[in-house]
Amino acid sequence: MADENSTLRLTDDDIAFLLTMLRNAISPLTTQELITALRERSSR
Amino acid sequence: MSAETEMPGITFAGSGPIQKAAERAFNVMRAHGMFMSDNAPIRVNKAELVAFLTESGISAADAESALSQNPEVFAFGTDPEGEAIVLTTRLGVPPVAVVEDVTHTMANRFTTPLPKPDKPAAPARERVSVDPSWATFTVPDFEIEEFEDDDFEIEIPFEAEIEPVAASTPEAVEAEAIPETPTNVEASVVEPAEVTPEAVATPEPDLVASAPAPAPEVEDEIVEAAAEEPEVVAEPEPEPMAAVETPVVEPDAKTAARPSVRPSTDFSGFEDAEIASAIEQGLDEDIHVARFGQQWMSEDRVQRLSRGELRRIREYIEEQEQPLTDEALVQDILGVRANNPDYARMLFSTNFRLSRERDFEFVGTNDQRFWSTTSLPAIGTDRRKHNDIGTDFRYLVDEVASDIEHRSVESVDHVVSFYEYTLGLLPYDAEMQELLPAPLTADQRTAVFTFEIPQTYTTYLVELRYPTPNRGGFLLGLDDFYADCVVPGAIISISATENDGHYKVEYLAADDQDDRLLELDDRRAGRYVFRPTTYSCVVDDKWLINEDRFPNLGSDKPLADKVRRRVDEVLKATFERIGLDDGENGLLASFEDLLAAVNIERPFSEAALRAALEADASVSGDDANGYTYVTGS
Repeated sequence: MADENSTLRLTDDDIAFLLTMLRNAISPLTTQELITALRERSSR
Repeated sequence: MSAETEMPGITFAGSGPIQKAAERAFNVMRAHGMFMSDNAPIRVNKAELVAFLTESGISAADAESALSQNPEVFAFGTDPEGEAIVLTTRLGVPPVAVVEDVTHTMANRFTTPLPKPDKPAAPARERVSVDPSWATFTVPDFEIEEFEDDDFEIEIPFEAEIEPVAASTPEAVEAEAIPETPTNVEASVVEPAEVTPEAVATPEPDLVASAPAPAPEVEDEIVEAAAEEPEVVAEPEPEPMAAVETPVVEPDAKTAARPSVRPSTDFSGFEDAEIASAIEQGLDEDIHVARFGQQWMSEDRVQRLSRGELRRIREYIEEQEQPLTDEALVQDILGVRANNPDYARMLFSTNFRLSRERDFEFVGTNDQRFWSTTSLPAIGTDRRKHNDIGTDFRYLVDEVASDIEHRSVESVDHVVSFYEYTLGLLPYDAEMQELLPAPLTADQRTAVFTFEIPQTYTTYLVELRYPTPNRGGFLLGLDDFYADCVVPGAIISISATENDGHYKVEYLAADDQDDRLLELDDRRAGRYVFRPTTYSCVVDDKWLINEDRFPNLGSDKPLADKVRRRVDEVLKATFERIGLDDGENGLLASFEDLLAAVNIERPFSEAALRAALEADASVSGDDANGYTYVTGS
């Protein structure tokens, strides 16, 4: 688990990744889908 | 039709007599084919031709020589019978055999399909028009290939090919311009090395030989093109050369072709809620991102609604006299059917656009997104102002913890008090908060749910007023259900469904029972009366208010609003209504009776009533011995 005192902040890369996902999506994406995509990306 | 009669200018080979013989032979054959087309072969039996020429005074030897020495005019062949023939055309050239070309016919094209390619051609990727202001965005440094994974667990409806957000930067342009195949990447390395000024000054054809094997075609083309254009590159144009030369600095071919890869944040140690919070922090303030509830979309993809469409939506809601879901609005007003590929986008667009309009108010949940207008009448009773009801439930603000987990329970059992029955409501207490969802939007004040009563096959619209710092929350709109099916003290069960906006309400059915129950008679200027009532539901006797239990309540008037607002005054009035004289200037009542009777005027929970009893100096006692209110104190 992450440190309880640490606050997670997305980096510019993460935000750019999310923005690109949203730009390419033809329908709205849910927060859960964005979370899954971030996890998938970081696992590589 | 006109025929060419002019003789072609032909020079025959041979000596004079032979030339004459050849000319004579040609004239005879041309006369033979007088009506033939210019290129049609004129066939004459050789023996007959020679015999004819011989009759004309030409020797047979000259005739034979004239035919054989002029191959530019005459050709030879055999007819089907095997006899030798002489061929020519009206133009004086040997006929050319016309062979029908069947190597490529339309019939073949239709009947012989091309073999299926091993890998279908990649469809043209849709490019979104990007607002110029995006060009200021930092170029993302991420691995391009990572978006091209087909094993994405979520269903992302697009070909996940990533391009840098700002394509105007050099790296981005480089990444876009250079194809991603390894051979092409190698070619890209060779190319800038050749176009540097040094390489141009002394062309080095060895580069072709030293290129990595196998040498791809593209590479050859590029090298050849560079070698064949010495004039262009020989001109002293240092600026463009320097621009092209920039990638050569990179030692690695792959890094030269793509943006550098930075490690992304490691999310493995964080909960979904933390990541969701970070996403909201990161994207909420971005004007290019549209958000509604838990859904996100690029703002430029969100459909805009015209003034006319907004007006029609507002009029439709007002005409129906009740909140309508986004699905109803999109289908009925915007004419987009559920099977339309754009349906999800239109739903989001409608929700997002309406949330920006002042005339509309979102009153839905995540699964059932109701929209209302500011002029739509409120759902529920008009016996009491909703703000006053919220004030009555103020004790809930203190009682309910702030860290309630919404939608964490499947069902809630509740006993309907007289106050709730009269106004057709339910308290938004801790149990109900665990059952119902949290507000979808930050500024949402109300939510409309559908409460289905399976036992009567009816469904009611119920409006939840979310709590405020000064007022407790409550649900309105159950007047008809209460009046038709239950009595004060009835036990009902509210169950959640998969849809967070739809709930099922059931009551425990029982045999018919007759009793004289308390009612608020509006026709008699608002008085309490006991009326004979037949009901067929299970009741909690502690909450049942009948004439046998509280005989003094009959014909009593409800407390004035000024009195109702004060807890001590309500307690006093309740003791006076139900208390037994203890002979010592005091009124005695049990806690159960107090709880049921005090809930006639205003809602009290057990905890709230105990706190009120403890705080009131006129009250003494406990649950075991009952509470006494000293009237003279």
